[in-house]
Amino acid sequence: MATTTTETKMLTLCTSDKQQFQIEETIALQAVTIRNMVEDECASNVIPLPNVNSKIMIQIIEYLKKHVDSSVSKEDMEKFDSAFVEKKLSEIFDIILAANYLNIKNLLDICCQRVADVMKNKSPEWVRRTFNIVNDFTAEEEAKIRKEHEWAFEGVDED
Amino acid sequence: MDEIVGHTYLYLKEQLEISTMPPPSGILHGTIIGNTHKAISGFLLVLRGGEGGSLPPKLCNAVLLVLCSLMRNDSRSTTLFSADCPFGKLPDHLLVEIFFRVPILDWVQISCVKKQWATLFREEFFWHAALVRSFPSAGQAKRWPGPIPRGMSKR
Repeated sequence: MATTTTETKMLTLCTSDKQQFQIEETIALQAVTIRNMVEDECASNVIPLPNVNSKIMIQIIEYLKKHVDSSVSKEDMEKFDSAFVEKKLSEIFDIILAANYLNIKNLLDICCQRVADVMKNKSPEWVRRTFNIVNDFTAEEEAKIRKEHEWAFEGVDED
Repeated sequence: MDEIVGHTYLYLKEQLEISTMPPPSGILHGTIIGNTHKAISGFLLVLRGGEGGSLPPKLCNAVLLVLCSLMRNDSRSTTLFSADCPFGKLPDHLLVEIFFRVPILDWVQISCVKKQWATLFREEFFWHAALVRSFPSAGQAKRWPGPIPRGMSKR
């Protein structure tokens, strides 16, 4: 009779601020970057993640733990995802960077979608104000673009 | 460009004040506020000082970053220093990931926000990626594979 080892393999992740996180291998391997590191055997015990800080790592582990659980129904997972992205936008941006580095596609998707939803149907002024972006167009350049695309500015949300 | 140099000067000054290291003699104050070429040579001097281990690595990184942005010499470089702007942190391909997800009718508004964004919308890779996103099979048809070799076809 074949025996299966019940012992779960653990991986240690080391963030940019030198915090160590011990998580189950199955959870960590959802991140393609980590999976590649493990498969290529270039990571022994501790996997260094110099692009991710511990604050963001905690949130990413929370996400991965939920998504490794195959018993969660599709609707529940969607509910979790939409609750997960209800964070400050500055945090979302950090998670986007980390998800890109760790190569977690679905996480990148939902976070980019969250930012896109904020920008939906908004005027350029609103976007600049909200994200603290400096307008580097001259008044003439901007007027020209607006004139060319006048139709597109109809029906934009009031600022 | 002058604005970048100004920001850099302030940043370097701040970093030096935070660190316990004495400023490398005269380099910072003398050259960076001058014109751009002087600024670049000033940065190089600072870097050389850093290689010898006399400067904190964080400072060297900052200088390298500035050098890269000066070399690219385009509107994108300004985003490096608007630290409060979260979009400044994202590389172009991630900006594009976000823009795709905004409805197409809003793309004109987005391209009016700043020059870098307007440039992104004009680039070919954006439209190619947008096409592939909507029609996944379009990305595979890169070139005609050529005729089926004789004898390979099964009747």
